[in-house]
Amino acid sequence: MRPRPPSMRDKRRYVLAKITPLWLCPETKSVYLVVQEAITSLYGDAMAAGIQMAVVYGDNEFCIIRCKRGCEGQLATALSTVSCLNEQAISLRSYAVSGTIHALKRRIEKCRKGPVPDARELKIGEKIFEAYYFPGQKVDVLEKGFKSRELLFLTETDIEEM
Amino acid sequence: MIATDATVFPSPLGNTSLRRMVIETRELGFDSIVAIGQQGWETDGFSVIGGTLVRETQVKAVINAARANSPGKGLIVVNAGNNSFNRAIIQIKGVHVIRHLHKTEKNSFDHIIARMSAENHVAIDIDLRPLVLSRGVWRQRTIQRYKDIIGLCERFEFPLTLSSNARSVVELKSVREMVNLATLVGLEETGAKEALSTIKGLLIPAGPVQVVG
Repeated sequence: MRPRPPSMRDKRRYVLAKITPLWLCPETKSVYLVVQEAITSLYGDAMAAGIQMAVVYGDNEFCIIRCKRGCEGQLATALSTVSCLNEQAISLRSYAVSGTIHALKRRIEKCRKGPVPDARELKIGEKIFEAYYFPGQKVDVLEKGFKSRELLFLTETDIEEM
Repeated sequence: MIATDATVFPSPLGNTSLRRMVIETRELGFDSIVAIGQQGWETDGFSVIGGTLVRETQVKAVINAARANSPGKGLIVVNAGNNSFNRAIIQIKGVHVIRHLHKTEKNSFDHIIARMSAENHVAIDIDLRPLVLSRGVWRQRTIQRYKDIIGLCERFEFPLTLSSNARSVVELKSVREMVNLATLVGLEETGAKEALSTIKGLLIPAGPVQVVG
């Protein structure tokens, strides 16, 4: 089937969303499922069909989500209602909107914080944690283990004071 | 723009330290937060306002909390209850914000309390957490309740505040996200931005005009 000429195609918008926490590294498919569920539960099936959402790019820090032009506001609102992915707390914060993926990828290069740093071992009290040090004094601390792992969001100063 | 997140819960109530909350909320576009269970302080133009949350449903507990709070320093936030409780606490001097009205009965906040709230300059908090976390009927009921409150607000012009009620970095919302979520419950963009800047006015209420000299 031949593709439609540009003048006959639907106009799209691309929303750049920032993923928190950075070390979660979700798959693109799971991001799609969780955003689709958020849109459907907030606006219903008919509206969700109209938004035409698709996840077109994803890495550990950012993802680019496509929607129909004019629906970017609704998509951004639905993104703020995403709270959990595979039983892990997550947030998808809309960061920028553009008409091309290329422009958003340039934006990603500007504000990327780099790859996820290697976890360092940290002992707080009796428990052993994995600490991820990020720029800007931020430290995400995750308990080692398999079940009900404790998660703390601290700063380097907090750790020095412990 | 002055933007304040009206309630956050840093550790030990949540899993994020106060310093981390400050870094994150600053990045999200806020210039102040109300931190429950913390002392107020200021750093590089960002202010942390100490907040006291009263969960008890006895008026006496609210009076004691309002007395213990030094005026102009901390914010007294009270969980709403039934109609008579709300009517009583709205008249207590030193109570700044009433929250969790969506959890109470429908008649707990009527036009009389709305008028009293405007007269006594007590803000009603719109908690955005249930809009994010709940689904289905519960979210529909919350939206319905907030729309009712906002309808009364347009009529009586009592102050509104917006809060993320975040216990973690992940639950924090940016200014734009809060405005988006507020428009979902019937608040206009200008109204939402105004609600984000209400807190500072609550701490230093406008007094009578004084003639100097």
